[in-house]
Amino acid sequence: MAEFLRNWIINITVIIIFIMLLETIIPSSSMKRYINVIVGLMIIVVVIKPFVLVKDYAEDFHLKFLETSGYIEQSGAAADSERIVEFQQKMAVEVFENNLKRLIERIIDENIDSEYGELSINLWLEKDFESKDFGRIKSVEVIINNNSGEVIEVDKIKIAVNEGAEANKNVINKDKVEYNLNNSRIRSDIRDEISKALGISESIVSVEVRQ
Amino acid sequence: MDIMKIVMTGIIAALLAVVLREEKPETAFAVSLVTGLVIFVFVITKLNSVMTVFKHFAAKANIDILYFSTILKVIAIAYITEFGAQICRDAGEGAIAAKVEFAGKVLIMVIAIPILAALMDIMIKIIP
Repeated sequence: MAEFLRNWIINITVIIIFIMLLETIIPSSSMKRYINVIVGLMIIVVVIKPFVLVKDYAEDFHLKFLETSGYIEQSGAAADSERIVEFQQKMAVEVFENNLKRLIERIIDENIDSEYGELSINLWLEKDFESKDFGRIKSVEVIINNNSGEVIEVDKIKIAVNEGAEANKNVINKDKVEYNLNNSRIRSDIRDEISKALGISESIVSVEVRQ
Repeated sequence: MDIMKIVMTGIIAALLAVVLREEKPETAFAVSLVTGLVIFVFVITKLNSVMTVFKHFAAKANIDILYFSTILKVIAIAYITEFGAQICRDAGEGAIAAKVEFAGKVLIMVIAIPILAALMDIMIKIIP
């Protein structure tokens, strides 16, 4: 008991001397009010500490403090390293997923010469860390929305032979099938490429072109 | 003597700034900014050793380091905010200075929140 009282008195004395010293170096601005609030809180904490100890709440106090500060600093929980590890793993999966999506996007860009509308890529990965196949790609779904909405017919093309390349820049030198977003061609091409690039079976890759 | 160095730096910079303000106000601002930074860094290194001694004493007196670090953080935020706000005010940007001060206040409050939360928790538990 004597030891506890001694500690308590030392705590209060040192904190108050320290705060007194700090008072002199606090910048004299509107900040002072806010600093005083916190200093006041500190003194309350130091003074009520024995009551807290009697009720055996000291651990609770620290836990609550760490929990709140961890929450505020958005690190999840500073006291709980397990949760931080979990958070990091989640981040790693997210990065992995984004990289895969970017890779698929590049493949599609390389395979479709004409313009296309919105592209949506859905990936299903094994996200369970406990699982043996953690990180395995379960299935890939690619949906390409055709912007134009209609098939462009390229039949009669007038070429101004004598005008040179500048006048002919709008001329499309491709077959109709090749120029338009063709569902079946894209399906097979992109599917092939994706399965080759990711090293997965073609059966779990689905490619769809929506008009 | 350190204080002589700092005062001389301040006076020379002030003279320079006064002369330059007529010709090139933006350079005058740069001079005051750099001077402020130099003095700030110089003093911060001194303060660092003082803080080390304080921490040593805190450990010796068996005081919770939590209280110390919180108070020190608050003081540091107050000083840095004040420094930034004054530089902004020097440049004639009172509005930005006010925003900087506002940010400082919010950050100080954020530091206070864990203490407040813990205190509230204890209070609620103590009262049956």
